Amino acid sequence: MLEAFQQQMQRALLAAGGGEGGVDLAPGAVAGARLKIYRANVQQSLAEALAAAFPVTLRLMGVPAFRAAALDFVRAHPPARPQLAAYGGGFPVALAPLDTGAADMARLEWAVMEAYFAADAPVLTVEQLAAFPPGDYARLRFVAHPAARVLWLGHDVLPLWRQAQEDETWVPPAPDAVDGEVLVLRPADGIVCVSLPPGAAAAIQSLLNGDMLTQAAEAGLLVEPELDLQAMLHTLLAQGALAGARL
Amino acid sequence: MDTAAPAPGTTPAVALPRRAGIGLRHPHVPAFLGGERPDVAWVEVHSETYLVAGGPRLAALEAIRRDYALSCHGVGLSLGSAAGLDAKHLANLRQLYDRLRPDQISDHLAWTGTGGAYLNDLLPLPLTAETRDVVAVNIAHAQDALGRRLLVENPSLYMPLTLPPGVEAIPEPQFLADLVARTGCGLLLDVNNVVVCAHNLGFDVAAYLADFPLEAVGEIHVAGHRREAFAPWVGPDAGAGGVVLIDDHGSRVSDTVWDLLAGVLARTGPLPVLVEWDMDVPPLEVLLGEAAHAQSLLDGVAPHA
Repeated sequence: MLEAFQQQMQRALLAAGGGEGGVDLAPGAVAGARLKIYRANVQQSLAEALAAAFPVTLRLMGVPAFRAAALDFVRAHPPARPQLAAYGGGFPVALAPLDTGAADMARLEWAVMEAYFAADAPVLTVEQLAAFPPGDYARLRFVAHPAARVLWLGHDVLPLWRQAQEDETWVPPAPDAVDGEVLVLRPADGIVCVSLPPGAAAAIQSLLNGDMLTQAAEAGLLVEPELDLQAMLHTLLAQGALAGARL
Repeated sequence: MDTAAPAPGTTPAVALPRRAGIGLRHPHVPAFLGGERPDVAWVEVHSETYLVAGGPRLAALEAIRRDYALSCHGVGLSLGSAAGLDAKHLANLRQLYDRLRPDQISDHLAWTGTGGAYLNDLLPLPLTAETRDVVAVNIAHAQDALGRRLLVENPSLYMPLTLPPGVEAIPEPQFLADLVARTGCGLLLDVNNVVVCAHNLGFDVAAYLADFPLEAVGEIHVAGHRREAFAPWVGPDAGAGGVVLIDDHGSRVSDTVWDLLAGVLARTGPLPVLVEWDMDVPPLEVLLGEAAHAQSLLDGVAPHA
């Protein structure tokens, strides 16, 4: 009886308004009304978890549109386990058919969430790097800091995201449909988002994947022959994107 | 804390200080990390909030834990799941608990989803012999996997469940006593939940507390609740006039709950008492004021032998 009850009640709790089935152990008007309290708790609290993870996306879309999209997502994709800090990774994809600009903002916010809760790791220092013989640099491979991630975005959302951090009441306009590449990092206690020059995203992703420095350079120069590799490496070291190096 | 759970029937020890504690919420973390330590004996966190790989949130809790006794209160074990517990979730919790070394861990007599879903709410269970068997197995599994003794909390309920003809309901205090006897778990008595359930389901608070196995209680919770009128939804046959008590932990503890706490403490002697405040979190001073009131009640009772 217990298993059937739980399956039946879960279906009722995840149903759209008005579409819920009954629960055999909860017959009658009072139990039916009280079941609605649970349904509201479940769906609204999960939608609020998404609102907390995607606050700028919410402002960009407006409350009614975000709320509708969030409730649809919650009903179709409830969390797999009780870790709300890890809930919402599929939300940007779900937004894409509705609003591509908002979907890109959501991708940026999810990368920020992931970076914020990523594992701790020591940061590779300039001194540690200088200990390698210069002749071996081309063959160096790096260990990525767990927080570091590269994003290829189809909208210029980073300036809007930055201004939204400064002003918590500001309502961002629709982002321009311009390609942009962003590196998300967590140096010390905060989050840093770096807007990357052309080619850098390809090179950095290659490095984060553990490719040799020469391979990463090739990947970047293929996209942008003028890519300044030294400046890129300096940025990675200065912002703590790398956790180690090896030959 | 890595020892196995005690054998069923042994008297559970109280692991937390027998003083007032507060729920640690994000807005108050900077005050705890500052030079002036807030005057409270212990803090409690929701375990699942800290199930992250790393970063500032976990680092802050580790720093606070060095100065305060810590209770890790789970909301996601789903001890009532007919399908059993989530092994990955247990492994994640074990890792967190081995890192934080909490003085006490706990979760609820509830289920939170089935078939690989987590619904973010503590859902009601039919209190039958079948459910008792399921929960007892799940508690034993959790205590083994986590390597620690669990306190199980009495739930807050909004919805009456009607059992099929021929299926007997076990009164909740008896149900909890059976779990203690079978698994060696302890109990977390949430006095606010008793008030909320008694109103919503229509039972007598005094009778419930008279039957509650207080000897197994290792921690007490008090919190605020709100009254909500659901008259438009509920027909004229609605119990309690359609007014439902919601345990939103979003306000001061009511006088009714304080009085019941004093009555319980008079029977048990001092126990760890937690003031929970999760919604509309007030300034830390307000929460510490509530904890000070709980402490004054604790100071008024003599230790029992």
